Amino acid sequence: MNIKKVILLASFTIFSTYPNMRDMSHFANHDFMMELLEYLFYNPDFATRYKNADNHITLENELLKRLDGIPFMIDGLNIKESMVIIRDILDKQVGKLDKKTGKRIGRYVYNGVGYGIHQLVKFERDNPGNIQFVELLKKAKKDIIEQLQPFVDQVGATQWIVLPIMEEWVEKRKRMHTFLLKWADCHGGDEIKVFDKNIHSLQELDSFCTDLRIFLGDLIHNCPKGYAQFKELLQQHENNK
Amino acid sequence: MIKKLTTSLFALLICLPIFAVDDFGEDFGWDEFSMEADEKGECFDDITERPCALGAIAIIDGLAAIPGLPTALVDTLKLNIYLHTNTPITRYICDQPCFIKFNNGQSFFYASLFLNWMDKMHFSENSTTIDGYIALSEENTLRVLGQFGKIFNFDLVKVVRLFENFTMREAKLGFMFQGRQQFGCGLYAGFQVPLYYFIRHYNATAQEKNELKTNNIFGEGSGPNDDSSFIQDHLIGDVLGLGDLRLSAAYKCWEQDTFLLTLGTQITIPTSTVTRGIYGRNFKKISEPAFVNLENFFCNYVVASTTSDQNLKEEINAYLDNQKKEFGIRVLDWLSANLLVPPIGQEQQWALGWFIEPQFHLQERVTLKTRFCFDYLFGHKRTCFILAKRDLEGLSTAIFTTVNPDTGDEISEQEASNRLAYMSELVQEKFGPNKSNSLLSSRAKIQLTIAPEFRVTDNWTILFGYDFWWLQRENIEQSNNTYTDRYAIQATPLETVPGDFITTFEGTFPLGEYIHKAERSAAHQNKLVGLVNYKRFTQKHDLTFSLGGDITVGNHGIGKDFTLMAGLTFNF
Repeated sequence: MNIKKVILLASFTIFSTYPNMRDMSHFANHDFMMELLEYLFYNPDFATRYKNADNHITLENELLKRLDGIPFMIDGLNIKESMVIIRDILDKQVGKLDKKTGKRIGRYVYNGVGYGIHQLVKFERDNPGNIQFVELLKKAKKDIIEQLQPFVDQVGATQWIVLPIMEEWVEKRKRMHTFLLKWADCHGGDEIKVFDKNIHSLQELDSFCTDLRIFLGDLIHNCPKGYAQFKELLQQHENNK
Repeated sequence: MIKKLTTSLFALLICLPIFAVDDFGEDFGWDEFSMEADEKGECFDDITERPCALGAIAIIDGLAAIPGLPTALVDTLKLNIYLHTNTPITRYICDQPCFIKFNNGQSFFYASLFLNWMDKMHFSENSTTIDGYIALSEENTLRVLGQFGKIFNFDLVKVVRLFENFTMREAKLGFMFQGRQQFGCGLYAGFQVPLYYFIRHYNATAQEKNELKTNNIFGEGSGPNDDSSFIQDHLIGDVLGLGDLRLSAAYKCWEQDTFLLTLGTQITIPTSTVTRGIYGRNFKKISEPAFVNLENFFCNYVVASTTSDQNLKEEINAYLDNQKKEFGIRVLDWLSANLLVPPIGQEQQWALGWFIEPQFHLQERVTLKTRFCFDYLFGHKRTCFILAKRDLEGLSTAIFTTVNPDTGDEISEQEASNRLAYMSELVQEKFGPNKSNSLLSSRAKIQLTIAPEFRVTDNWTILFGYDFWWLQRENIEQSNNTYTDRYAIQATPLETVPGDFITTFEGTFPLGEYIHKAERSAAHQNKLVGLVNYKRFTQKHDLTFSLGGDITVGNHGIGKDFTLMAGLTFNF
């Protein structure tokens, strides 16, 4: 095998793991190599993008196992509340799915079209310094903070339970630089300040949203009794329709 | 060659993710829970109950053991909470006297900016405060709520008293357009249509608001004073839209130097197009009255009352407080769905009218303008809120007895569950009358206007007059009863299941309804109207600038309002 073939294979491998390469127009517009290097070295979590989000990790936290399924601890209604957070984050990240048309309706308008935060990341990257994204980021941050306030309050009240679980999750998911941990650790009213200090781009906000979704997904996965109760509640609701 | 081909194929395989584009990339993290939330998330908000392990008999026994609770509950279920369920009466903006354009033989196009303000709407025929609509200040209500308060160690009467003087306000702001084309034979044809914003909201004095805040009625951080989104979501209803089109045609049938008589007809077509929930909430979207599953609620309540685990007790009580708060807000929303849905136009009603306009030229500069108009509003279908009429004679504290005193048999678990479901239905009916698709009778509307006009100079005229408006009572001719008596009290125990006296009939006995509570009374207003006109003639234009308004001086069944307008008429 000669060196050209090695380079070819390596390039293809890198291309296929780099998320924004899926849009081929990107090649024409940007200095791909520079951006790739920047992405590789700037984003330390690059190696663990959520390609296998469905392979949930097992959390060993004893308290989590003991509280699973216990009313008012981690029961069906608590799981529902986590699912609501996941749903609302998705609403902001990728827009609401209109079941009739099969299309998603994003909350953030860019060039007359509604997008989700995740879709805007590409535009932000393509248009660095565009003032529109500063406004969109401000709005998205405000929405996320407002939406997550009950979650923050809950974490604040049960920090001694949640923080060790989150730390274990961070280690096992290899998300050492996630903003999630810092954010969950902030106290009464500091969330906005911490957000402003640490989230500077839509990409960072998008990563935070994805981290939170996957964290909650892993948490639910590790609470099978609570999740079964939630499924039962869902079934009851569907039967009552 | 084979090596090159293998390498290319391998490379192509690796490249597949580039071309196999999904919506958001595989790094997006679509796990099973995200997919489930995305797919089924719409119904998550409807899941509010926490499962409880106690059986229905144990729940009833637990409630019966709390001193005073059975009596207080039964008395509450027998309360007549709603005194009326009608929607408030408002006057279609086109009927306001300051928009009357008397026949002067000219064709014109007219546009005006207007504001109509009604500070205290009538909830019912004689009441401008909410206690005339909901029995907040009735002796029996206060007695029963007092009982409840004692059991829960909470001054419920004080809370209710905070709401009893709430009023309702409405305002309309927009443009009125009118046009008229005169024909040579003394005939004219015209149109009138408004475009406006219409807002309705509850209102309280500053002192009442302060007391609500002090008593923290709506919980931490969410109340009429603390949270503007709470006000927008629960206390304000608004709409923006184009009103019903009114077309008119008239004939100048008698004209002399001192007298002019015009006879005409008008038709109001329900063409209104609206957008609801601009600033406030679109309450029309709420389809179901507030419901609380008492089996679940009381189950948790009994567990909290009997557990020795202090942490669990606190958790359950917090959950129950949240359930109560949510129920309270849903009750408020349902009330708002009836009261705070402002109608643009004439409530989707066709109206056919006739008018007669005698004008007397009394002096060189004084003309007495009069107009009498009769409108026939055709019967139509509309959604009304109608209360169920149940026979609750047989309802007593025996509903909390789980052992038949005669036979000593314990009631079945199903029977106990039915009793709790029955009470849940009663609570729902008490606090939220069902929406019913009803057929409303036709009715009449009369308007009489007398206004002398003074020509001060060739350019300036002043009109000042009196206007009487009357709307006939509205009757509900037919109601599509949506209540079904799934559970009913039996006077004697069933033979088949000893001890059971409430059971399910699967909706075979439709209930009666309090139709008259949903019907609107007759209403009338006496108004004074004033208008100042300035005419400006140029070679190209004949314009009239108008400033005017009207104000209510007497009323019944409808609130006092005033209108201000500034208009411009292009005469041609």
